[in-house]
Amino acid sequence: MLINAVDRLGRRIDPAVLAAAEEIAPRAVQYGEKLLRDSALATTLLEESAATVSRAIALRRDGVAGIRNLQAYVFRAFLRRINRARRKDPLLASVADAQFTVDTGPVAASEEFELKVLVDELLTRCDPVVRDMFYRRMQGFSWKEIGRAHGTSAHAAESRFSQALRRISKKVGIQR
Amino acid sequence: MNRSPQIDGAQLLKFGKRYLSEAFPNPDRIGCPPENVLRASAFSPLTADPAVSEHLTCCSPCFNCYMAFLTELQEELRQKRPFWKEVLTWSKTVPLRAATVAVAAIVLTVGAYLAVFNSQGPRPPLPPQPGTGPAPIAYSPFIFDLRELSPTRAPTVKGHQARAVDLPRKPLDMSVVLPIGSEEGAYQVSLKAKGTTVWTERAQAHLVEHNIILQVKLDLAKFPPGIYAFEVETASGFFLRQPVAIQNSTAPPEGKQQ
Repeated sequence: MLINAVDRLGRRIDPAVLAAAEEIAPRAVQYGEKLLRDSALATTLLEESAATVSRAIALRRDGVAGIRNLQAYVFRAFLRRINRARRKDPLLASVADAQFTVDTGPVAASEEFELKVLVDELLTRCDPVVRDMFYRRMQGFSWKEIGRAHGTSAHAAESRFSQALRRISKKVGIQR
Repeated sequence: MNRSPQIDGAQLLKFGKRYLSEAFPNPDRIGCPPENVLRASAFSPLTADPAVSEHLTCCSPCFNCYMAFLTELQEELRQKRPFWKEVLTWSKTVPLRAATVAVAAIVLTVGAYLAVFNSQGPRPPLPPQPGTGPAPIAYSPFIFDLRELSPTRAPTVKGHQARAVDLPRKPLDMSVVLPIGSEEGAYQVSLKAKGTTVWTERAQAHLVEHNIILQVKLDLAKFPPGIYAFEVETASGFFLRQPVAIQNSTAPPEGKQQ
């Protein structure tokens, strides 16, 4: 058992969420450790994410059944928590920057971290259609091809994605 | 903290791809969907399960697999695109090079024209000669009935295989009649020899007189006689396999020749 049933703040973790967190724990802690250089801190943040997800689920009418992919949900909540912790703490920021200086070319480490935050937020907050548009765009699809795949016009597809990206960039404080 | 940095779209896409393909290793493939589900999501996102898209956000092996399927789809789309569209796209992406090629082509054509007419003068046009140039392939109409391949609820007998249908070894304009309950839309039709695809094509199935018909042109003269597997599938998982025997025989085949 890597994860406690209660987080650092004394909040209980729902059994289903705890099971999902336990399953992703090795990968999540490894990811967090890579970014923060501290596996204990990563585990604590994972417990906090699981507790937050449990609280969010308790407020839902449909409960856990309404979550399409609980593991992915907990993982993404964990990623956001790591990003927030890094942004709040200057010491963590310097560690994370050191982590992101590898193979970045002309892009500054802090800028690359902002890119990571933007990608994480985009994947967490947007709907599955916009997410799939992002995947296809990364693979070099034209807007026309993306529009055809989603049964819409090239312009509508581009507009939908741009709006989502603009909204999220504004929320996380990144200019585009 | 340094906030509000400037980020451009190309940077975001490049970083996003690198980040998602490396940051989330999953050697034990915990929670991963099967490969055919990923493929179906890539080929028909409208009917895809949103949970798959969510899983891709935190699993690099699945993300890389999905990207590979997208590349496959992209190649398929590009192969279908007519030549003149490719040229147009190319001229848009590298206008300077396209303009150079166009100017060079015009100069060469005009130069060749002037050289021919200055040395010999205009020639009378040659009469058309029979037998020159590749002859057009004559496809024979052929109805290939697969209605008996309808999936049943009864358990299949182990070791039982459908009997091979004889096909004449010549170019066929095939009307493949799909089983009752099949849907209109895009199908992938393949011919396989010992598990290796020797021919494949995407075709649209349409409802014609209460039957779902798939129209494909297949030049069987290219393949040596023998046993093959004729397969029909969709991205959503529909799959049919019918063994066929390509024969040189002069006798009429089992399929209905129109």
